[in-house]
Amino acid sequence: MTTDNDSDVIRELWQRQSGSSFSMEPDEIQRRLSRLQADLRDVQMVVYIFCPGMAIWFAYWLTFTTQPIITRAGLLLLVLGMSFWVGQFWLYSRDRQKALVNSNVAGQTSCLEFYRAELVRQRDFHRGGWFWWRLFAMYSGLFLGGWAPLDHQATFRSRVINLIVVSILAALTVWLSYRKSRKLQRQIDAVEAMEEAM
Amino acid sequence: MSEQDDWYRKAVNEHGAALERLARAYEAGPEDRRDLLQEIHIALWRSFNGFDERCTLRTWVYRVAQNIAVTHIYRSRKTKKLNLLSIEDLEESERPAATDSTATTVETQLILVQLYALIQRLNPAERQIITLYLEALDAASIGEITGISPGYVATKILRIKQILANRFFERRQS
Repeated sequence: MTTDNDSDVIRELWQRQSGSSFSMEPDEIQRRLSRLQADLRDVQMVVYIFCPGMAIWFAYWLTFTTQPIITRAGLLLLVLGMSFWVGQFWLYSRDRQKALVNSNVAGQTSCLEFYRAELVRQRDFHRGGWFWWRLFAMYSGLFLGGWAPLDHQATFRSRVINLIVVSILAALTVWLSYRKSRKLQRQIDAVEAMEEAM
Repeated sequence: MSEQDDWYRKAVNEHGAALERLARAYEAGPEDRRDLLQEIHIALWRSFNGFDERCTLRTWVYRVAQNIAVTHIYRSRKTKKLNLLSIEDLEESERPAATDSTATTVETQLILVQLYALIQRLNPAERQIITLYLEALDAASIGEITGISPGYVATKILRIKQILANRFFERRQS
């Protein structure tokens, strides 16, 4: 009984808080939305024109201005790996934006379902096909790129060191991503348990 | 004036203050809080384009607000640095420093500050339960908004009551 009374006092305190009576006029919201959409269009222009242009120039520069063929292959794989990473990040942001832009979905979807979708998006970023392809391209690129960068100066020892460093980095990335995705999976499991409980 | 505008105005009139409290429960900093509040209002106005009255206005408003708030904190980098807890973990976590202040307003402020700090440490699903509970919603209504079974919500509410009583009253009495 005391517990009930005490928590009621807290609830009363909570509801008594005076706010700033914040509100926005629909006209103002529409103006802001138009501005936001214009900003988004500008960003998309940059992403669709500037970024591919940069990637092509970067790939050309990396591939054709270094001499050993193995280094060229490695650097090209590196660019490919980074492209996978950017692509995956773009997909992740697009899905999240979709969920936000379709605000009526936010009203129709229960909080738990909405939260679960967010967790699933994050978990999938750390595992799945996109993740493995980007990992494979980046680390094989790093390995091949570092295989003969010094050309005549490259030694068996420097190649072994390169192999060890790249292997450690790759193993670390796999471990960290696995840990992160496991943590997110535990949160997803907890959310699902909440839906099913009682 | 469109129906969408009408619903929005009605929602702000009836639940505007609750939306401010919710934004405060998710964002401690005034600027971040204002950003979140604006985001909620914009999403709310947009959402009324698809409001079909299959649920009550209150359920709709709270769902949109809570969903936008959760996305907002997940987008924020600060969340990644926090170790979000469950309600059960709160009992084990450190308690706030005691105060011997007797001034009621100061004490009220202090309780609210501590309450916000406590809420901001919770994981999103439980943060939703506690904020809706504080808005005086019952277990069935919270269940409808969050999608959590009412039985589970009722159990959580019981724990919340115990924690609030332990944290804010037993200490004062002692």
